[in-house]
Amino acid sequence: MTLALIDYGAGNLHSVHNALKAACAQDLVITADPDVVATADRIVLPGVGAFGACANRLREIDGMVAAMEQRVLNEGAPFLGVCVGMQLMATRGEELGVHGGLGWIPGVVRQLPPSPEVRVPHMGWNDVVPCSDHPLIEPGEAYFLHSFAFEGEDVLATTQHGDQVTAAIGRDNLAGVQFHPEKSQRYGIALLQRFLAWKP
Amino acid sequence: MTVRARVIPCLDVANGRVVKGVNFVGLRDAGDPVEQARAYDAAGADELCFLDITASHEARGTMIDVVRRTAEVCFMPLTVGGGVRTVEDARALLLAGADKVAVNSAAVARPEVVAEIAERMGSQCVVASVDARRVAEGRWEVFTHGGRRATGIDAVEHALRLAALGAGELLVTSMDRDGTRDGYDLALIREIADRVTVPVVASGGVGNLQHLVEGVRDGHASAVLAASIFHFGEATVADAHAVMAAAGIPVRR
Repeated sequence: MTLALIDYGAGNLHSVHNALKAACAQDLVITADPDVVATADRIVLPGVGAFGACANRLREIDGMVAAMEQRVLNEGAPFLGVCVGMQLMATRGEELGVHGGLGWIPGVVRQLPPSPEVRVPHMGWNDVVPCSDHPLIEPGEAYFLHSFAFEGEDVLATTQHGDQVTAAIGRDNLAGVQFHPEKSQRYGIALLQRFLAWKP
Repeated sequence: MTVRARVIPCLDVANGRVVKGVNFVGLRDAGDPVEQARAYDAAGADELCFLDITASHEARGTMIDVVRRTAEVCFMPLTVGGGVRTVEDARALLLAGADKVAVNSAAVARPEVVAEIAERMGSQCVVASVDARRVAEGRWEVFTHGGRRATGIDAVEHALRLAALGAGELLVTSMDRDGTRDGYDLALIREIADRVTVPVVASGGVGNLQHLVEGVRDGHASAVLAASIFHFGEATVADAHAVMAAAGIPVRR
């Protein structure tokens, strides 16, 4: 049971690693090796920063996207994207120019419109409100830190920041969360535990 | 509900040891920032702030080690300030496990450093920290060196500029109020908060929990930072949440 945590230079890599350890993940490997990802039983993609920069860094690892697509889309390995790691599942992102995403879930990542009442970045603890029953996504409070948000299909949960904002997306063996489970204390660790036990 | 007002305990750290922190019961080593952070994590703090007051180059490695060890056991957001001068300083702290870095003196000397960090690491991780003293009715000036040295820079204009350069959050400290326990300089906090669309953290002067309520309700801050009320064991984070909730402010349950 190998869990591959993909290392493409994301700033929250070690925080996600620490949280997965706290969730009692076994055989956890931080890896930038497509061959490891191609045989992993579960895959986690972290991410903070700008969409385009993250997408480019992921693509710069020769064979990584192909390995992820083979293992996740064709062979059904459970996948969790965190923050920008979730956003990268979208068709495209509109942060500092338009950039293509993985295109796994139809949708666009757009800027949250700021105002004195609805401050951006959306920063702090907010509700996770599930749209339907899903084995990973429980109602609760999680820590959000983002200025861009997903708009599209397969939304699993929302939160409220001015308008409704996507908090989680997914279908089949794919899941992504906009909030930071690695920074959401008990709620976040419990979510990671559910991911480790998830048999989609 | 909406995004919650955050309660942020702040620990002053010098040479890897807590200078001003909480006397939690049961700590093996109360001077260890990691132990204190762990206690605050358990107490349900919304975020934690480490302020490295060593301000020497040699202590940087020590602070990075503290951050790394904290991130191993704490699963809440961590802001680290003090001595962050360059993109590389910020990057080292973020890779060690900090979620945000607060830039203060460096942004007085060269505001563009805020833009440089934001472009490389994202706006969400850059906190622009502004230390201000009131110099006239409705006018505040940026001070450095722990509030001792005037810069002649208008504090509100400076804060607005740093937000425009890409700071994802502003930490506004009244040096007049800091340590007085008389409450935040609400006029200062509100003047800045009403003119930016990024979150503002109120800091400096908290002496009781009502001051936290005032910071959000009257100062229009998104988060309230405090040290001594927690430090002297007068209040817990849960007390703070309860008083703020009673005043109608959205806080974590």
